[in-house]
Formats: sequence, structure tokens, C-alpha cells
Amino acid sequence: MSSWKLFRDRYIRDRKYQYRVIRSIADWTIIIYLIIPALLFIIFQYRSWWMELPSWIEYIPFILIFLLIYLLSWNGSIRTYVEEADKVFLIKMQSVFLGMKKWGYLYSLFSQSVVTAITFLILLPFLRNHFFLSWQEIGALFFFFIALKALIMLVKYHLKKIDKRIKKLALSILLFVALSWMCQLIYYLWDKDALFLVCLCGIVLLPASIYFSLKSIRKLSAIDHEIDMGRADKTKNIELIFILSNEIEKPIVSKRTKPLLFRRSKRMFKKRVPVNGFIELFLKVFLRNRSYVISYFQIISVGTVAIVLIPPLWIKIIIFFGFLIMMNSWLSLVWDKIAPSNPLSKKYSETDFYFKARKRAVIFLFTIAIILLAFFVLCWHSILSQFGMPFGLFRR
Amino acid sequence: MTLLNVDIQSAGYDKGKEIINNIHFNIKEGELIGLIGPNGAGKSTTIKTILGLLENKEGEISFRENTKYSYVPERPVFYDELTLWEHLDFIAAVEALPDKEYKEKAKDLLEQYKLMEHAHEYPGKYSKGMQQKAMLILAMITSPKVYIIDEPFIGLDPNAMKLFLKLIETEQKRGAGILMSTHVLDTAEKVCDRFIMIHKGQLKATGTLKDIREQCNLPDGSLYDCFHLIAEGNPDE
Repeated sequence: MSSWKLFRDRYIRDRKYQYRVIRSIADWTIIIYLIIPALLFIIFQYRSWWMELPSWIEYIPFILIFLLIYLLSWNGSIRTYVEEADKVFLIKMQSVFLGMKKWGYLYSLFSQSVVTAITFLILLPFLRNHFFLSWQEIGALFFFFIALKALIMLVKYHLKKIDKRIKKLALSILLFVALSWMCQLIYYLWDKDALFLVCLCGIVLLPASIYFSLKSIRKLSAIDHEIDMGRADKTKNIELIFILSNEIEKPIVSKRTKPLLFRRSKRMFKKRVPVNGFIELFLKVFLRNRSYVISYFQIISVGTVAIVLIPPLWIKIIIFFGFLIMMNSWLSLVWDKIAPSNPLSKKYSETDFYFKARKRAVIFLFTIAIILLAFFVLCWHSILSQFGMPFGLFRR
Repeated sequence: MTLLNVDIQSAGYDKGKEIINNIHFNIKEGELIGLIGPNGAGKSTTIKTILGLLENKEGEISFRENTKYSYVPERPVFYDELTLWEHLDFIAAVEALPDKEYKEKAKDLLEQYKLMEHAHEYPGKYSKGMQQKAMLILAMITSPKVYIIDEPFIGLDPNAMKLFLKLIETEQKRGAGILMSTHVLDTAEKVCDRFIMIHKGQLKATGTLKDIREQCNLPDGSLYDCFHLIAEGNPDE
């Protein structure tokens, strides 16, 4: 099998997978009643921008558009279409394996260039009719941003290989700032009509980025990282659906090897009795798993906002009782998910101390939730009062 | 003295779909029993039935009164958010182990298995061999009367395997009964007192190696020969 055919098969398989993911949430009713009308609205809106510019564009300087394109350039990454089983099978046929990765990279660059082109196409009415850019100026910028995208893809490829979170974050921020300075320089050159220098920058950046990217993906030692990156890219749509659905608890897999809270296995309770053992297990798992903490604060913040914003007192009271019921049942569900999830603890799940611990742990987190809710509501109340906006708080 | 009596008439994951039938045996104090059988024979189902993890069960599993047991699964399972020491701490708390004694025993086991310096890390992030060792430590910390161990040798290096066998021997001498499911037949032949051979969910042979040889009509056969005969020898069965 040739590397091109292999890449093509994997690409088609991936597209089919993404199609199934999208179809899992977009059935025909969603397509007919939501997606098609939304697309029509966008098309008409876009057409209206060509006919008459919206008034808000008056307040937007060109540097902000420049910044927006720079921010969007950080989206997208290199995808080599490497799979877990390649470590065993395909790696033996190096020319096919590397060839497939090369096609994957070139496709990533092409698809990201198309995204940049779409960005420019959307902004075109403003670039042409408001900022009065010539086609040469737009072309020079477009070329520079494609080159910049290739560079960012390379930078992100190497950033993703860093295991230490703090180092990765620090370097990401540093590179983001450094590249934004480079963009500011390009903006300065473009502003001074030095289009040749803008193009020259693109001419240097693009081949250099492609060369170093192809060199990087030739390294067989990066296979594990490429598998992780490919997996992350493949599941990004699923994760987006997860993020948009509040009712789904997102599993967050931590890469930490040691805990941040209660380091060196520090105990919560001095008294070592079965009830405390179960409570400690539950609270440590709860506090160290971001998905539980995020959901806990989500419920509190939704309750706070509803109580603050919705005016009549009787509705506030109903919301408060609704909050109590919801928080209590969610905490009980989380206990039932955490505590008996391991054979170590499951064998005690019929004991008296198990139920006693369940009651105490749920009541503890429940009480904290009520205190936090009261605190947040009072904070909002005092902040809004400062601005003379009672928002109906305590209004009958 | 019998620690565990297993009298399974039938058991399975779904109602009406039995995986294992007529499996009867017991475990006495100080005995190491090998649960042997090819892949898909029903070994894990037997273990799950003993642990009470299968709802669809006909028969009776009875532990001697106040008998503690520890289970070591084939695939190590940990809480992702707890360190190994916290797992041990949890077991010590729920089993009401005296703090000083438990800490000494935990440190001793961790030292022996060379996991002391990783005790405050998440075992879910350990290598496969380290995870297996951690599971064995968690099983041993309570000094249970019965051990139910599923494929203990997977992932263990030779040193850890030797250490495991030594600790098992010590536990046997203490009076613990051990049921060990394994495919490592040459080791099982050397260390197990009795065997339970299962094939296609049925008990095919049981007893000492001598008994198994007799039941298989292989007077000089090894455990592997008997296993092979039971698993492959009767294709029409």
C-alpha cells in the first residue's frame, strides 16, 4: 500500500467518524429547523455587509482586526494520522509510515490555509469597503498569515510534547507574546507601506516552517506524542459537544503523578475509624477531580445567578429550594459514583459505616454549598447596590 | 479447617445464560489452590461469583464466620485521585487496624516491594509491574484469612515474582487460604497444594497433582499435560 493511499483511507475514515459525531447531535429536525436557517441568516448577513457596512465597524481600529486574525491563527495543529497500532505494524515500513505522516502534515497545512482564507473572506467587506485595502495589501497579509499559521503549527507541535504543565504553560505564554510582537512589527511595516518586507517575512517563514515541520515529524521517537495529538484532534468535536452540554459531567484525566492538595498523603482526620476513612476517601477524590469541583461550583453559580436576577421573592424561595434538592441529590449521586467504584471499597458498601459516612460527607459538602450560595448572593447584592441596580433582589 | 466453601450450581452475567455450572470446592487453612483453565473457561466468572459480583447465581458461597478476604484483580484498579499510601490508609481505617502496627506493616511491605519512594504518588500512574505489586500490598495489609488472586504473575519481574511467592508462603504458614487463578502452570505445579481445573464452565478435574493425573489418565504427566488434555484433548466434548 502506498503512503498516499494509506493517508487517504485514514483521512476518509476520520471524516466519516466526524460526520457520525455531528449527526449524533444534528438529526434532520436540527438540520432543517436550526442549521439551515442559521446558514441562511449568515449568508444574508454577509451579503448585507457588502451592501451596507454595519455601524459598529466605525469603532473598530484595524489593529484589532489584525489581532483577531492573529488569535485565530493559534487554532489548528499538525495531524499526522498516526494510530496506536502503527507502533507495532506500520513502523516496520518506514518509507510508507513517514510518507503518510508527510501527507498528513501537508493536508493539515492546506486545511489550515483554507481556514485562514475563510477568515479573510468573512472580513473582506470590511477590509475592502471600510479600511480600503487594495488587493495587493490583502494578498500580502493573507500570505503572511498563512506563513505565520505554519510557524504556529510547528510551535504547537513542539509545545504539546512538553509533559510538565507549568513549563508548557510558561513557554506557551512566552511564545504567544513573542509572536504577537512579531505581528506588531509586521503591522508597523504594513502601516508604513513596506509590503515587500511583509511578503519577504512570509517568504522566509513559510518554507522554513515547512522544512522544520517535516524534519520534526520524521523523528520516530515522537510517535507517542503524535498518537496523543491525533487522538485529541479526533475527539475535539466530541469534547466540544461535552463542553456545550451542561448536563454531562466531563471526565477530566489528570497527568499529575502526585496530588496538589494533601501532599505526601496527609490525613484529613486524626481519628482513624471506618466512617472517617470513607469520608476522607470521598472528599479527597472529590477535591482532586476537577470535573466534580467544576460541577459543584456550576450548580452554586447557576443558583446564585437565578436568585439574584429573578425578581419576585416567592420565585427566589422556590429557586432556593430547587437548589437544595438539586445539590443534595447531585452530591448523593457523586458519592454513589465514587465510593463503591473500586473492589477495595465495594465490599464495604453494605455496611452501616458506609451509609453513615455517606450521610455525613453529603451533609458536609451540602452545608458548604449553602454557605457559598449565601455568600455569593450577598456579594452580588452589595455589588449591584453600589451601582444602584437592585435587579429586583428581595423585591416582591 | 474450611475457610471458604464454594457450591455453585450455575452462574452467569445474564439471566438464563449460564457461564459456569456445578463448580464445588473448598479452601482450607494454609492451602494454596490453583484455579486452572484455558481462556474463556470461566475462571474469572467463578471468582466474581465468589466475590458476590454476579447477580445471576444459583448456589451458595460461604466464608467461615468473621473471615476477612482480599481480592487481587487481574487488572489493577485504583482510585485515580488517591496515592498508594492513601489507599492503604483507607483500608486501615475501614478495617480498624491499629495505627502503629498498620504503618509498620505498610512500610515493611513497601520496602520489600521497593515502592516506598512512590508511596505518595498516584498508583494509577505507575508502570504495570508496579501496579501489580501495589495491588498485592493492598491485599496483604489486612492479613486476611482468604486471598482470591486473579493472574498474579502478569507484569511482575522475576524478583517481584520470587518475593510474591515467598510472601504467599508466609501467609500460608500464618494459616491463610489462597485461591489463585493462573496460566503460569509450571510455577503453579510447584507451589499449589491442590488444583481446580475448569473447562467450558464445568469442573473437569480437582485435587492434588496426583489426583489430577489419575483423573486425566496421565500417571507421569505434568500439570501442563493434564491442562492440555482437558482443554484440547476431547474436541467432541
